[in-house]
Amino acid sequence: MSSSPKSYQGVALIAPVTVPYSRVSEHSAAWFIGRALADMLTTTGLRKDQIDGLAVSSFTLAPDSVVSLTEHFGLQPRWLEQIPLGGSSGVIALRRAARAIQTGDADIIACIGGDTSKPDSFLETVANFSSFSTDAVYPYGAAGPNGPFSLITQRYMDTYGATREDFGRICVAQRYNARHNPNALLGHKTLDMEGYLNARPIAGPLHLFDCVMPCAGADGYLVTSVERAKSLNVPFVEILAADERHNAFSGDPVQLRGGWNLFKDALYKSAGVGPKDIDLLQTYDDYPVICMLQLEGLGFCAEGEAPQFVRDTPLTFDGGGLPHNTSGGQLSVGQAGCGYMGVVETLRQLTGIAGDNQVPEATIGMVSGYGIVNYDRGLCSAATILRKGRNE
Amino acid sequence: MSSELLTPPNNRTLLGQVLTVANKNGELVLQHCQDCHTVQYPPREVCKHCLSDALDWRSTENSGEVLAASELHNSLEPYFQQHLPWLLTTVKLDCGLIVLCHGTDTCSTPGTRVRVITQCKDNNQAILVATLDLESP
Repeated sequence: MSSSPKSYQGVALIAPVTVPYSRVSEHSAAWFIGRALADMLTTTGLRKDQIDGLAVSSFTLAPDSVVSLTEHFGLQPRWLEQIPLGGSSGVIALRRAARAIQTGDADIIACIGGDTSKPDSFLETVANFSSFSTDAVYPYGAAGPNGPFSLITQRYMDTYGATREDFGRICVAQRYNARHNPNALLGHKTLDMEGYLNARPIAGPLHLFDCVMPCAGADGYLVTSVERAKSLNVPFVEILAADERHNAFSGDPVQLRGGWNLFKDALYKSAGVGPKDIDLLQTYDDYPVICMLQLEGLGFCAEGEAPQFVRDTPLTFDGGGLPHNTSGGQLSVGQAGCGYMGVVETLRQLTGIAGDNQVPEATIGMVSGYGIVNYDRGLCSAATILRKGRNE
Repeated sequence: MSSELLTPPNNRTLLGQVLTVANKNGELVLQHCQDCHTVQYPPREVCKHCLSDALDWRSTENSGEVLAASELHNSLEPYFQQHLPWLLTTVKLDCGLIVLCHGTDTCSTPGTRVRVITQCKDNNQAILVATLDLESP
């Protein structure tokens, strides 16, 4: 049995920011990442030269990289990281940055996921996503991630008896949450089960509202020490536990589980809490079936039982069940920035600044990440358990 | 542009082009490791098991079973847009490999026995196609 990650004690997450999403933008990814950094400085009163670490993730930053951004933004950091792990990047940036704070490699690290979106940028991302994808997925209908995920969804339905209504429960609850989040791109449009079921078909069992809308936007947060957060007099969140696995269960014929199954027990043990203690959960929702794999992999229900779980459990922020993707998630806010949205939304909830979608008395939140369909399945899994910072 | 001129995407890697050359005859030819005999797909630079670079392109037993199939109603490429719905199928070959294939109407049910062949359409780039195994009981 491998060891568990050491404690993240003493690390604080502060200053959650969102640069509002838009369907397309004339700006580059650097604009979205730069404006997120500016918002963090305004929020905290920090000067730019006090930011000595930067971690970024983006599908649309190339040919630039994180070091290009140091010159672009006039930064002189002593710690840099670029995390190309798709929808797991937001949680993994948190892990990497937390260790740098603990070791003293940096004092204040900005973690930002940001993307732009232009009429052809999604096609370019998909056509050249990976070598395997270029050779063995794109020539098969060029449907982007909808292709592999239609097969995963169909296999999950055939194996466990999930229905379209089960996926619809996730999507409809998220749209309800989005209607309470002014930054949600689709928050102005209601979605009920009838509308969900009658949507136009996209790929196999996937219909319009099962698929995220790629867009432009950014989410970010700062990582520093608890001591520093207190001296800045800003609300903060602490990391109870975090872990990741990649290319897990590679022998499974079709992906019906991810790496979470391998570390969830140790994760809860490190955090000193269990699934029933989680006040809110943000899963990576590129497709609703992947939310189900996370509900199962993180122990909210057994493998194959997520369809029953979502029938029994309200997923809205105010439904009294398990508040899930409380900002509306990518399915209703839009997809940009590689999974930082879940972290940022959890920081807002745990510091009590979420707004109309605030979960009352939220103390412990969980964020899960998933990413990179290199061939036929997502390779990256990550999760973290966070707690509202204690000032004593 | 008339529809006759549309061609499938043609952005394959060098290994992807080698796969096309190896599969000109329609039988399934995949990478085999000379050292540990692992068969692999998609094509790689080294063996996924022993990391050897002694890889041969060899004819491969092509029977397998459908795991999942779906009809694509949406595509990013004009070539495929004119052929929608386009059938996408996951096949588990009897050697254990999982391959994404183009499907056919007769083999979209999970469990259907198929043979995976290769075809070069329109732009001469090989794709894997799942066809009903007529010899299967």
